Formats: sequence, structure tokens, C-alpha cells
Amino acid sequence: MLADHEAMAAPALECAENAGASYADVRIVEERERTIGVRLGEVGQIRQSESLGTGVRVLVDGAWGYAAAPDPTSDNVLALCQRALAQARASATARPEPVVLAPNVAARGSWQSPFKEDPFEMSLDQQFATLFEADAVLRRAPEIRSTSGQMSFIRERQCLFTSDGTAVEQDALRSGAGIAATAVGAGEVQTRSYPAAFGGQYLQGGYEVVRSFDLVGNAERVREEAVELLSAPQCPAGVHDLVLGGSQLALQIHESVGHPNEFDRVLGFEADMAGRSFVTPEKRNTFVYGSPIVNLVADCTLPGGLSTFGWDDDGVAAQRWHVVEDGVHRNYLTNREFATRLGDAASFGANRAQGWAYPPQIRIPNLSLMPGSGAPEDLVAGIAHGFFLDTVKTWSIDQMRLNFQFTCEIAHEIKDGELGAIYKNPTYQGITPAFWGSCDGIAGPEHWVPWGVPNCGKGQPMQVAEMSHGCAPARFRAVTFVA
Amino acid sequence: MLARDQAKTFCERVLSRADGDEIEVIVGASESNALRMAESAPSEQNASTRVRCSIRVVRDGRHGRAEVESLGDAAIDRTIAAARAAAAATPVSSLPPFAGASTGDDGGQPEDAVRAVAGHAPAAKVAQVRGYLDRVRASGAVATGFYETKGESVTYANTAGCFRHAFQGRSWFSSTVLADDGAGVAHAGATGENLAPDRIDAAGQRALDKALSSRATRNIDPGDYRVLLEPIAVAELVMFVSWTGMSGRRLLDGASFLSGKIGERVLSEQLTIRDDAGDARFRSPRFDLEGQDRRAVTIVDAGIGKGVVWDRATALEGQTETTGHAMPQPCASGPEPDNVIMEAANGVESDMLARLGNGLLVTQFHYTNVIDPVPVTVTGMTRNGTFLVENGEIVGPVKNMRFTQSIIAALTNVDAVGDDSSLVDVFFGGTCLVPSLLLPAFRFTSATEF
Repeated sequence: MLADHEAMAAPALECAENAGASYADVRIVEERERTIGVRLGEVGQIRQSESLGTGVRVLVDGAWGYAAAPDPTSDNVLALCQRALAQARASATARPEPVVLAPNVAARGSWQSPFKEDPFEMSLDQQFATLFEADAVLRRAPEIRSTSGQMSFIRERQCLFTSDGTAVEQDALRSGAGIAATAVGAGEVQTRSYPAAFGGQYLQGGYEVVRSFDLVGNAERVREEAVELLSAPQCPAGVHDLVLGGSQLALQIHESVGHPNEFDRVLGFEADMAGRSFVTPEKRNTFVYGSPIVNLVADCTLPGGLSTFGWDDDGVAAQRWHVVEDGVHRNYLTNREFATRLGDAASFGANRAQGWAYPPQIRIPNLSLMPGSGAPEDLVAGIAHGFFLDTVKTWSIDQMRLNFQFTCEIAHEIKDGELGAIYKNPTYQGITPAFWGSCDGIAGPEHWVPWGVPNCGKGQPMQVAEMSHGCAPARFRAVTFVA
Repeated sequence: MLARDQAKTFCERVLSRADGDEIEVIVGASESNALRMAESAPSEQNASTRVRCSIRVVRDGRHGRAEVESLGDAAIDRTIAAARAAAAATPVSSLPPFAGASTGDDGGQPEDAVRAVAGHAPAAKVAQVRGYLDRVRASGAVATGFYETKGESVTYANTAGCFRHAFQGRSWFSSTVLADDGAGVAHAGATGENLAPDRIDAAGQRALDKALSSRATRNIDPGDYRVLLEPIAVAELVMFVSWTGMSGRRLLDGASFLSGKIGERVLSEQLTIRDDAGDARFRSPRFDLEGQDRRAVTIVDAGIGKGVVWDRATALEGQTETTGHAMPQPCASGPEPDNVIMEAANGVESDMLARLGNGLLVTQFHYTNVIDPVPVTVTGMTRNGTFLVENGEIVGPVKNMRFTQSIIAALTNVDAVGDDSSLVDVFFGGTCLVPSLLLPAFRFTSATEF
């Protein structure tokens, strides 16, 4: 595929160079998706799609232009280049300062994510059968008014050719699945999900990922907890010690560490929609982001991570770096454009686009809280009175990423170091550095899971990106709960 | 985009491959150009051409669907085969059979006008914003923003004889201005079929003026405040009510604020909410993705719960008729309102600030999300200009606060409805037409640092 596509891209790159572009790239992306769903014993969703298209990006007179269309041929890739050149030239007339890219070492090669069972080679019958079986278990209570079972598979093959010599081919397959049951009674609506909310858990890999979840085996617990929540008391307001389960902690990492460290956002480039950041540039290497046990590492080489790749969409090789080290802020998330604005010699390689239709931008990579030691039970044992919260229900954070408020699906009360009764709608809030500063325990590597986020939105028009946040359950002291 | 004749020819080509099955084809084709702005300058331009063909095959009551981003013969053959395979793999469905031809108006906008919006040149876009950007730069403030023009055609056809086609174009300008390194921040926007330069300039100037006046924020304590919500803030609340409570699926599941309350008072008698694709301010396609006429639906009439939107599957279950709000079937999440209107006052509430007296003027909410769907209890932050008002006069900006509030409870007691209807694009997607609202009590639950 690489050689054929390289021939298709070459005239466009040559055209851009002849037009005076200081940089140009061509991405040819082929995407295949299968998402199926079951609701209350019926097929709830069938999405099988395929897409092949090209995006051409040029940097001319210090300004960007980007044009994209489906069905690539040499002729229409060249036409896209000319369209992108016209955009860049128009923008350049109103730019006082040019965009300058950090240097990069040209790469040639290919990269593929590992998998065992190709879900696209499996029959739909087999995949639906698992969902229907789980659904039948979920429905075995009159209070259950809605169910959801879903599997989702995406395979993306991408070729990137840059005017500075990079020609790389990548092939990534990710799989995900989940179930949920919604119980309704007396004006109350409560949902339980497994393995995570909003469609479940996602990892790079094949159908073996779905098999590992045992959806059917977990359906009964999910159903019973949804029904139990209908009559559970409201989780009380107050100041409580807290243990966060993995999938909720992953969201905490995403919202309060991932987004505020996107360096384009730090400089105000996302102020019109997503917002800005409290992690202003002077904080690097000095700002205390959390307690000394908090280590947050970006890693585009993480096995199974949704943002694991060979090269980013600038052609920068995958890397691993600390964003927070021993509680102190160290680094941002950058691409070639914003690395120069930070004064760094090179990009960390966080530039990614959704498919072919959008230009790349800085995206949160796999970003994980490094494990501590021991079991979640050890964290619970250290609490006289508090709560263990798990599974995302709702989330909100201010545009500087300071004041957050998250609600989980379920809380278990902790009394004298042991888990007790369940509570509904547990809601905690805080200010980001103070919250991470209150972290005094993180469970060990055997409890560490790379939780997938398949729906991260950013940019105008909005693009969706995927990434993983590895973590083990962690303990936070004196957290504010609201009711 | 596909002209009507092109679309019809293409659909006939697809339907001719039915081979004894029932087939439905939905085609969306668009052209867009987006200019992003940062540091008071263009930061990026993005033009894209998209085409999506989604095909449903029904055989013996079993439904399969597949889609492809191409109109080529080989791609269509593969897609029909994939949809057939999916139909074979699924059990017999309770979905109704395809409906036939409709005599209803397809709606939308004139083709020429939409093609003009879609073809808006990059240089023209830069020229339209340049004066505004220069003015912001000269003031010492910084402008960021977005200006997109997009035209699309939407087509629906099936083997039962239904064919629908419409065009829709839209321009969207949005800008946020930061004054004194972000000490003052404000946002303004404009949305419409085609934005004249003076509308963009006026929206930008509003953002600049407000940013300059929103510096030197003061702290106030969280608590219950009397509030005047500008339309962009109201839109955020109305869309959450729409997503959680205005569909047949949510009503049947008992998860809507209207569940069991049709015919009862559910909101203030000053409020009327409806969904109307044919309203001149939307001019949306007047058919849904089952090819059915998209009817005007009154959700709440003077505070009384009247109804919700339906597709054919939920209408069958609810023993009623579709209102033409279907998504591609099968669709577990059910129908969706798409052109929500909260009626403005009839020209009698022009001085809302004077009516507010003492309280807070809120420009915009940020990152709102649902905690409890039936009372539509949500949490979110204020953003881009929150002001303390005393005796009907703005006395200064205040730091942002978090609110946690049942929207239904808030909208049950309304002091005044503005006469300033605005078309607003909402943070998590969707567009609605809403006025400003004056509410006697709104609950702010915590503060932040800016």
C-alpha cells in the first residue's frame, strides 16, 4: 500500500514545494468500523462503515491550509493541494507572525498494532449472540426499563508522506464492548454499566479484548446493582475520604491533567470552545501538581493503548515522557508547531487527526497515573469513614480545568476500613492541584488497567480522538461531596 | 453536494440492486470551509468534501445496515452485500416496513443559496474577519474564534417508492476575546444561512466590548441568585431538557420529565417550547431519516406538557403516530428533536436588566452535564462574562461559579421571557432558537479561581 500511495502523494508534495511551501504532508486514511448494539432483546444498532480519503496540509508564507476529500486519485490529491495552498495564502495575509515547525528526523517504515482475532473476519451472528445472551440476563427484573449491549471495532490504516522525507504506514485495530442496565421506579432512574460507562472498555487489539470482559458473566451483578440503586440513599454531602475506582480515575486524569497540558490550549488557541488552562508556561518544572506519589506519564508506546502508534501525524516517532514527576509539573503535550513556541528542540509527538477529513492538532496521548503498591482493599483499610466511588455517570470541569464536579454511578460506604452499603448519585468536587495534592495512596501494578476513552472532543469543527489512561484505584483525603 | 436529479439517479441505481429485498438509501453530501483564529490572526483553514451513503436491507423482517464514504459502483456493491449479511445475522425485528411516497414538502433551502454558502472562498472569509481582528489587536486584547460555512444535501429513498431531497446551508461565526492576558474574557457569535459582513463585525465588537468590561472580577459567594440568562446560556439548558426528555423513547422508558405528566403543568406558564423544522429561522429539511414528514410538535404549551417527538418504531410502541423525527433505523436511542424553539416574549420585555434589579447577568455556561435525568438536574460552570447587577445596572464582573440545578425546577418559576430570540449553537452539539430568561432563583454551588 505504501508504494502505491506514495506515487499518488508525490505530485501534490512537489506542487506544494514549487508553490513555496516550507512544509507539506499528505495523509491517506482507510477506516473500517463495525459497531453493533442490542437493546431489550432487539437489535439496537448496526453500524458498518468504510471510508477512504485524503487530507493535504501545507504551510505557506507561515500559514496553514488543509483540504480533504474521499476517493483518492493522483488528480484529486493534486487538486486538494491547490485548494490548501489557496487557503494558506489567504490566511498568510492576516498573520503577523509565521508558524515555525520544530525539526524532525525523517522516517520510513511501517507499524502495526498486535491482535489475535480479527473481529471483521468473525460473523456478526457470533458477536450478536453474546450481546443477546447478556441482554437476556440484564432484563430479568421488572424494574429494568432499558438495556444496552454494545461491541465496537475500528481498524485504521494510514499512510503519511511529508515534504521533509517521511513516508510511513500504520495499521491499528481497536476493540471495545460493554453492557448497561437502567432501572426506573417512582421518578428515579439509575444505570449500572460494565466494564465502564458510555459503551464500555476499549483497547487496541482484536476480539480477544471483548472475550476478556466476560459480559455475560457480569450481567447479573449489573442488573442487581441497577435495581438496588433505585432504593439506595443519596450519597451524603460533606467532606469525606475517597477511593476512586479505575474507570472514574481515568476520567479524572483525562479532564484535570490531559486537557490542561495540551500546549495549544495553554496558549489560548482553544479558548473559543474547549477553553484555556491553568497550567501556564512558567509553571513548568516548579508547579506542585499533586502529592509526591503522583507520577503522570504520557506514553505513545503503551501496549493496548488507544493512542499507541509508530509515528504521530507530524511524522514524529512515538515517545514516553513525564507530565508530572513526583508531584511536580515537568512537561506539556506538544506537536511540531507548538514545541517551538515552548522553546523545545523537538516535539513530543502528540499531533493527531480524526480520519482524513480534519487537520491534526495536539491531542491527549495515552496518559497514565503510575501505580503504587498493594491492593485496593489496603486503601480502604486506611479510611475510618469515607466512600469508594466507581464508574462515570456525569462530568463537568471549568474552562481553565480547575473546578471539577464528577458524579459516579455507585458509591460504597467505607466504615472502619471496610466496604459497606451502597449509595446513589455520589458527587465529589474540587480544585485540580488541591485534589491531586490530597492523593496519599495508589494501588499496585497488578490492579493497573489502561482505561480507554473513545470519545474525546476537541477543536472547531470538533474532532473525536481516542486515548487510554492507565491507573489503579487511588485514595484521596478530605474531598468535598455535594448532594 | 448532489442536485436533486443527481440524487434521484444515484438512488435508483442503488434501489435497482434490491434483488427481491427491501432497500433504503440515505445520502448526505457536504462541502465546508472553516477558518480558525487564534492570537488575533488566522491559525488554520480546513476545507472538506464529504459524502456518506447508508444502506438498509430488509429481508424477511430482518434489518441490516452498512455505509460507505463513496458513491462508486464497487463501493455500493460492497455496502449492499455487507447490509445483506447483517440482515441475515439478526433476528426478526419489530421495526415497521418501509413507508411509501409522501406528498409533503421536502423543505430545506434553495440550491443556489446553499451552493453559494458552500463555495464561500477562503480569501473572502479572511477579508470578512480581518477588520475585527485588527481592531482587537489594536485594543491590546486577543481574539480567538471560528468561522465556518457549510452546505449539504440530504437524500432519502426506498423501494416502497419514497424519495425525499433537500439542501441546507449554514454559516457560523464564533469568537472569544481575552483582555489583559485573560483577566477579562467574553464571547459572541452569529449563526445563519449566510452571514453578512456587518453581522460578523457586530458580533466581534460585542465580544471585544464585553471582554474589556469584564476585567477586574470580584469574588462572590456561591448560593441562590436571581439571574438574567442570555440566550446562549438559556440554549445550554434547553438542549439538555431536549436530549433527556423530549423524545418518545425517553417518555416510554419513564425517564422523561414528561413521563406521566402529559396534560399537566410542568413549566412556567410563560414558557412554550416546540420543535419545528419548517420555521423560517431554521428552514431545515422537512423529512426524517425514515422519509417521513417532519411535523411541527408542541412540547410544552404555556407551561403544560403537550407531547414529544416520535419515530415509527417508538410510535408503534406508544400507540401513536410518528412526528417524523427518526434517526437511521434501527436506533436504540430513539427519535430526536432537531429544531427546538423556546418562544420569545411578544415585544414587551425589552429591558430585562431593569427587570432583573439585583442579581447576576450570565453570558454563557460551560461543560454542562446531567446528574439526574428526570428533574434534569445538571451541573456546569459560568463562562465568558458573569456580571453583578444592582438596581438594574451592571456594577462589575464576578469570578466564575459552578451551578448545580434542576432545569425543570428553574423553569417552573420564570419572572420574564426576553424578546431577543437568537439561534444558538450549543457546546455539545445542536442548534436551538431561544430568548433570554429572567429566573428568580438559580443555585450556584461552588467557586473557582478566575
